[in-house]
Amino acid sequence: MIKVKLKPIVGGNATGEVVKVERLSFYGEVDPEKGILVADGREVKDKILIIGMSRGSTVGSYIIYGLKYYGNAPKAIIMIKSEPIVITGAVIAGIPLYEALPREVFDMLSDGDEVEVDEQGNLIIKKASRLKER
Amino acid sequence: MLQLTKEEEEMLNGKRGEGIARAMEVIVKVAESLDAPRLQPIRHAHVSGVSYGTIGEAGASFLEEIASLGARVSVPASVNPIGYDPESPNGKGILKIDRKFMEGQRRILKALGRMGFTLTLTCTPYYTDFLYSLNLSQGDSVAWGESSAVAYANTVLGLKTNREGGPLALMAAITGRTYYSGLHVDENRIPDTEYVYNEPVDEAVLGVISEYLAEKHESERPPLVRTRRRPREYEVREFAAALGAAGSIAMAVLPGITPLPRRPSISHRDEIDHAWVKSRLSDLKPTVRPDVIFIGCPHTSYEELAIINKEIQDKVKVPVLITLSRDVYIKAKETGLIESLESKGVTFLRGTCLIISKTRELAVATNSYKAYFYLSKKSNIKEVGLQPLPLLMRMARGEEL
Repeated sequence: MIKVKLKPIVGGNATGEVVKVERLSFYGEVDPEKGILVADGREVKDKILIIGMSRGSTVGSYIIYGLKYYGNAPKAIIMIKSEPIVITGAVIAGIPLYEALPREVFDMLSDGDEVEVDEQGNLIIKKASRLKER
Repeated sequence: MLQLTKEEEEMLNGKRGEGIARAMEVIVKVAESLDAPRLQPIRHAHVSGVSYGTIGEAGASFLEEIASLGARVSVPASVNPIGYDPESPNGKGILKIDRKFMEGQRRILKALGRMGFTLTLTCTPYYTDFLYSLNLSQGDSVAWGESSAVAYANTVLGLKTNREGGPLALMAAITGRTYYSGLHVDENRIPDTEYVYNEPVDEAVLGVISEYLAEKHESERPPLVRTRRRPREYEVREFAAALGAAGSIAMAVLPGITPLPRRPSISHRDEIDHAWVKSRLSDLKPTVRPDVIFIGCPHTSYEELAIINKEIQDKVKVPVLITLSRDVYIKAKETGLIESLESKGVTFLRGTCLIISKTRELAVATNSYKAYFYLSKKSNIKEVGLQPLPLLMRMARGEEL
């Protein structure tokens, strides 16, 4: 079990499975009606969405709102570094958002890992497949 | 540490209503993440992302929700083009809009109207009577969402705005505030890198130069771009739009055009390679006879209409579509320009644009790098070619290029 301190932007508690994306433009790369990543069909609904960096059109904020609107929101979004498009989307959709995830922790996490994050930004990695290999 | 005024605290705490609190929360969170010391009052906001074709059901529902929470604009605020011309919804045979699209678009307009937005429906707020009436002056802070207008505001008008994007500009309109950071800070507007281009320029060349800058320009400061002659007003507008499409540059400095708070001290110089520019231009040229020549991305100016009217003497051989704001249309109607151009076979659409609409299958030639950039990604567009206005005019007259 590993504990990491994150910076909360939109606070909240969440526990769930990791879905990890290195670079993401919400507009064009996320389908809010289906709750999936367009490129590979991975589900983001009820997951902890971990993002390296985000980019692209500012309409992305409405896509994040759309995830909530269609009942497909992730339980939380965790980023290495946030930016206005995601912050705006997370606030208007009320999805917990954290930043300052250390790069080495990002690299260590993979899809299906179990993590927990609380209001103060304490991230607990409960089960990480790559952790066992070490 | 972000310092809020008493009034801003009250907005955030919900004392001024739930709608304004939601909007303030967004501005404050963004300000905190950017380490802004305070918020910046603004004199005007311009909101992009209001076409149903772009923001869809989710965007429409959000606008309705925040309007129903009682959010109202607290500064004069205008909006971008929508998915069709409200006065010719059939798109004069060029657009293809279905009933669902129109209903969604109407919901968006209703929500915006309820919040007190002035429905200018243009990406060129700087050509509207609404903006003229505000008497803004150089150095005033605004919050604009439309990237082409952002670059025009900073580069030409000396108005200060970051590239806010649609949703943030909306929150700024409601709160009358944005974050004090980026281009609102005088020092950040002073360039440290100069790019020189010694060959003739036009808007197509400047479009390609914007690609070069998107790739090469690393400084956080605006690039200073020195060209052999001072570009014309509409060429600068196309350049501003191209900067926002090819990359995320929100301001350039053009000698003799851009107002600056102090003289720049250049620490890095770069000569833009002519051969590269020429080869890119030839890549982007039209290869087929276009179904339509598209002018007006961003929306055309009155002066540009006058140039076009002079260049086209007889009936056009290739259809010409011009998109523009209602304001410029009315002015050109009064002076007879619209009638003259229509008699030569030119079609006008107001308050909309091909990029954010739905079109029938088309091959397009345009002088807008931005239109080239976005239309080439749309499935109904067979080809987009880029040519400067004088060559488009020759094409319209049926001359072989």
